[in-house]
Amino acid sequence: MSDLWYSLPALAQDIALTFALLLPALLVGALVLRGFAPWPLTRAILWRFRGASVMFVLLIAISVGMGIGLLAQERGLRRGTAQAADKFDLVVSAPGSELSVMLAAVFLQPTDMPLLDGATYDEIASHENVSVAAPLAFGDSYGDAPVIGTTAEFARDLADDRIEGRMWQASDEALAGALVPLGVGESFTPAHGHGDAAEGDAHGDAHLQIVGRMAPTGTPWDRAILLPVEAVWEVHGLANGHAPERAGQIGPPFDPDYFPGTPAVVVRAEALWANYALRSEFTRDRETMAFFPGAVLAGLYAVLGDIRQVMSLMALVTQGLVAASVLLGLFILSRLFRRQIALLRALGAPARFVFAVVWSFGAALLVAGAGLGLLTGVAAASVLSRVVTARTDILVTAPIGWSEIHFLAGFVSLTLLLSLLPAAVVLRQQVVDGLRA
Amino acid sequence: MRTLLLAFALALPLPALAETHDHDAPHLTEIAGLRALHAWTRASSGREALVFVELENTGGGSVLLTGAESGIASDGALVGFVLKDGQPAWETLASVPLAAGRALHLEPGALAIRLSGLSRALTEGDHFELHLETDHGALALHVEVAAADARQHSHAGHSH
Repeated sequence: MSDLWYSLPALAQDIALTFALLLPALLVGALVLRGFAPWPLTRAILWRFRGASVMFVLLIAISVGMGIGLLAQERGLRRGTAQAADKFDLVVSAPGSELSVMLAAVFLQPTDMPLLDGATYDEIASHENVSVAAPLAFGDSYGDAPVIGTTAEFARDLADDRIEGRMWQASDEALAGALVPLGVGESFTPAHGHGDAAEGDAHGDAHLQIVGRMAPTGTPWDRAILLPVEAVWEVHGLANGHAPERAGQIGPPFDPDYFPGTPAVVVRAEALWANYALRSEFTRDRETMAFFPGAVLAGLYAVLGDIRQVMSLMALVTQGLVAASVLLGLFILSRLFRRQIALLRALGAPARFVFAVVWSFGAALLVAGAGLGLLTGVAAASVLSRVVTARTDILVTAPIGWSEIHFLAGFVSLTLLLSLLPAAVVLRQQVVDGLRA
Repeated sequence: MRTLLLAFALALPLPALAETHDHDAPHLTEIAGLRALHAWTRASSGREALVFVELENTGGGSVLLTGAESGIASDGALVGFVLKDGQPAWETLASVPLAAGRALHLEPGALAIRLSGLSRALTEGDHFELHLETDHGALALHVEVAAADARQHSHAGHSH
């Protein structure tokens, strides 16, 4: 049986699981409604108590929607951060915290990092399995935009070669990220440092011109200004990575003797296996640290996975409380139409018919609330995504996935089963007492 | 009687030697200069398991790793970790070359040997045999089952 299950495609498994979750409710519904058509009477009751019914539906919808929205958002954030790290196959840096280096290199969070020297960079760049070895140089900024030195090849790759204008050709030219408030042709002087501590006049004699704008990447690099790594070294009064006779060269190869140092190197290999071999090779005690940002993120997600479980549990508890409130409400509502139910029974309506009417009333509220909750969840996830994207510059999209559908199916199934209780209680009430109510 | 006592006395150190050998042998195996150290996996009741090991090619030529097989699994393959849409995934690698003098660490979040179709659950403290297939023949690995949430072999860092 398990072999058959694992042999199914993921979509078939998801559909089958949804159906399995809904099956108890479908079976109960078929049994309760078998042989009767309670819907005209149910519609009349819903209309008669429309104010209370609408309130119940809204209560369920908000509860379900918030739960679904939060769960979808957590997945969207995971996907967005993973996408931001897509272009960073392997990062080599000085030994330290992989998380700190990843935050600096991928998410451009300012961090003080030791530098790799020219010999080490040269060993990485000249390795037979390395196709790209892009040094990164952090530390400067312009307004809110971090200024990052790197190579033209990496900048092109980052923008998927979609650059409005042109690539830099000299050390006083730069590319603006999609969200940088500088147009092509405008000039700027980078400040040393970031934020309030930035020294605006530290590089006063450096005037760099924007010659191109990168297409949106959906990553924090959209707010960055990229320039030749030589430019960063030059504005700090360092050698520019090339011997004096080749001082005008932009980009690799760099001369180890004139290489001022880099906090991180983004490495790429043509073959997938080569990345793993390079990681093993450049993980050296007290020398270099090589890591996959994707693997670091996966470690973070494992922690987030626990948080997701807690969130799922909280959502489940919240919805359980709402379900309990709905059941309580059904008891109260059944008191409101107690007289009508008693009259039905006095006129000879079968007990099962009365049971079906009361159950279908509760089922209508729950199914409508769950359906509206799904729409509320889509809207909540969309709003949260926009807020997170605006605050982090990481493009977050949070479409509703199968896990949310399963969550909803489970909720509907459980509450439809529980709504058998108020229907059963109504049948236990005395007809005479009901007529006098 | 004297001969018997002498034989007994000579035999006494043997268990100690045997114990030392048993302690080291499972951790380190070798074929044609390819050394494997600290093979381990995580306890699991699932159908798949990832096996990690430290490899070093001390031989004079390159070694091509091509797959794996074990008596407790229907299939074994070399896989590499990737993050797809925020979900951890493992992509099958047909082969991985290991140049002379180089080391390759199969570890969580990088390379691994994936055993599929496990015939039994793996419990912590358990051991099983696995053969890493190479172009120089099969290298026997004695795989130790660690805790379900282990991040490395319990002897990681020991060079043996």
